[in-house]
Amino acid sequence: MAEPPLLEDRIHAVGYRGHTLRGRPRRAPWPMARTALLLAWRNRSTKFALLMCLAVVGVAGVALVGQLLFQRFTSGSGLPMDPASVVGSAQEVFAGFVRAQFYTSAIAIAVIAGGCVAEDRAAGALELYFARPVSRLDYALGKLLGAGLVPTATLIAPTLLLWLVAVGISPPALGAQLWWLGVPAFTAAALGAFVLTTTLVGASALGQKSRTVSVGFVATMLVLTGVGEGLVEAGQTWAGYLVPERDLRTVVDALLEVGRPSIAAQLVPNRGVLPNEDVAASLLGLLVFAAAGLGALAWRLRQDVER
Amino acid sequence: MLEARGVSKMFGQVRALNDVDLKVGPGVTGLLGPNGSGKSTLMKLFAGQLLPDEGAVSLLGADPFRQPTALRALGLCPEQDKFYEELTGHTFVEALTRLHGFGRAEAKKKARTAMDRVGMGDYGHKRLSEMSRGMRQRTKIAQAIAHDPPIVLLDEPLTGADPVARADLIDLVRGLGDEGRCVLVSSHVLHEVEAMTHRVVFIRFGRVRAHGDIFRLRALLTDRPYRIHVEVPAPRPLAARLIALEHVVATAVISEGVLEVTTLDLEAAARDIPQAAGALAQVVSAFTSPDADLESLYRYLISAHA
Repeated sequence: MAEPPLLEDRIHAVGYRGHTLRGRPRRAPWPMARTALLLAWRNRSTKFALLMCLAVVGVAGVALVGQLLFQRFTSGSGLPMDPASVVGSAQEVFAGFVRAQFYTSAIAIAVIAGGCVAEDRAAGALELYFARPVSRLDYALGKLLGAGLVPTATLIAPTLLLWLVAVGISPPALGAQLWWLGVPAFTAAALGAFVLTTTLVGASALGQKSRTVSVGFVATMLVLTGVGEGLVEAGQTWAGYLVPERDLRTVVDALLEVGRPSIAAQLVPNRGVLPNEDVAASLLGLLVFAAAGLGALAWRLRQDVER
Repeated sequence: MLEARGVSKMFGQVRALNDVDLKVGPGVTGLLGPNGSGKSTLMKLFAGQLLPDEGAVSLLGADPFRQPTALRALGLCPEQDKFYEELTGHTFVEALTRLHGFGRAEAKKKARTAMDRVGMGDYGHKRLSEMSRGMRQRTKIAQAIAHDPPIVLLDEPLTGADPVARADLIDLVRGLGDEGRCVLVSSHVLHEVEAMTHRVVFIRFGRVRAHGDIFRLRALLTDRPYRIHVEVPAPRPLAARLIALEHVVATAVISEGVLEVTTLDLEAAARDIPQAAGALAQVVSAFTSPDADLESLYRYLISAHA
């Protein structure tokens, strides 16, 4: 009697499903970023953090609009106007806004995106992601995009908005001068957003709990600031480069040429002095922070994902 | 559809898989083995998440690790149960479906179809945190099949499901196989695997110990005779008649009206026992074999002495 065929040779199903792998799949980062933001939006703390950022935008907006409207009406009434002072004050507002919003954005991004990688690791979502045509680069870009949208919304977009408002309502004579303020203000905001995003995602890659990452990130920022500022006051000027906010302040002030005739410059005699002496070193310091964040993310993905 | 050729995988000093050769075709195949036997490693290799140290894995002829686009043909339902708790079922499935390259509208449509298919259409608006374990299992399966993959890997898909849900999920898995998909199901619950398929892969200590149809594999275990329980009114005369048969190794009356026959040939016994009972004017009211099922096969194959 003939042996029945081995099971491997039998087809237990009716028919055979054709399979197609046509075309190149769309890139995965945006869906991943969207999922992260959808998750964050469901937390009350996210809305609270965004409200806090909105408050800072409101204060900066009121200050900027107030000054410009005052100049506009005084110029209309025939009173003398000092264009350099008006532009200087606008620069001060932008510089002050970027500095203050850097901190509130740090809190916002920590609250909203603190778990972007940490939660994926804790929840085992990496297994789900990487069973799909998603590369480590796709994943990293998705997380950076998701986290980056937070400072984009809280720092870059308001800077752009404030600039448009400033240009729109300024006296005609100042329009051209304020127009060029947009580039340094936008660059400073973008730099701040970049540093926040990369360091936060890096921190998230090292942790496993969203809340721990958020608290740790904000606390590290504050400790670095406190210790760095203290050392600088004690004469250790090199320590200033270890403070991300101080580095950013240096770059922002340099970009916005703070210290030119402005209300703040009149009130604070040494307003024109940069926090750190060397702008290039401060920029390098910021880039080192960003690189550390990206490095942590890359290291974690190499550890957890073989592909 | 799925193939492993001489695959070995080491984790440090531990050899998780050792020279595994396996071909899995269309239909449902059960992947069985004790904890730490290498089932999950094999699943991860097929899912392109690990690179074999030796040998090669292919998914429809493509290397899932080096050609991740091949993963568009794969759906994975992992054992892990804790995901994005705050997302609704629909959003969860849609978000993961989009990673296969579908646009938002298309992914949404596919997610809804998949949720309907697993019986979660009416509950997809619930957050994962609000779902029972059975509902979460169904949602996990929905995300695995939403993009209509020809290959589906299910790791412990019935965990936490209530009996009704289990029956539905078993039907669903069988349905996936009947459509011609290659479905590889890893599970510890043997009778549920048996309800899904008769085709199994036994794996232990990283090696494939057996692969094929349950009954055929059982028949290959010639050193392990079958025990058959026969319920007849008077078992002793039947026992005396059966012991004379060549394939019958032993007979024993194990309780009132129940005769245990030990035989080397199940098919011959199924033919001869009713005949012998008939010759004695007895009616066989029950005929069962306690060790011709998957559980006994598993026990024989996986036990340390097997």
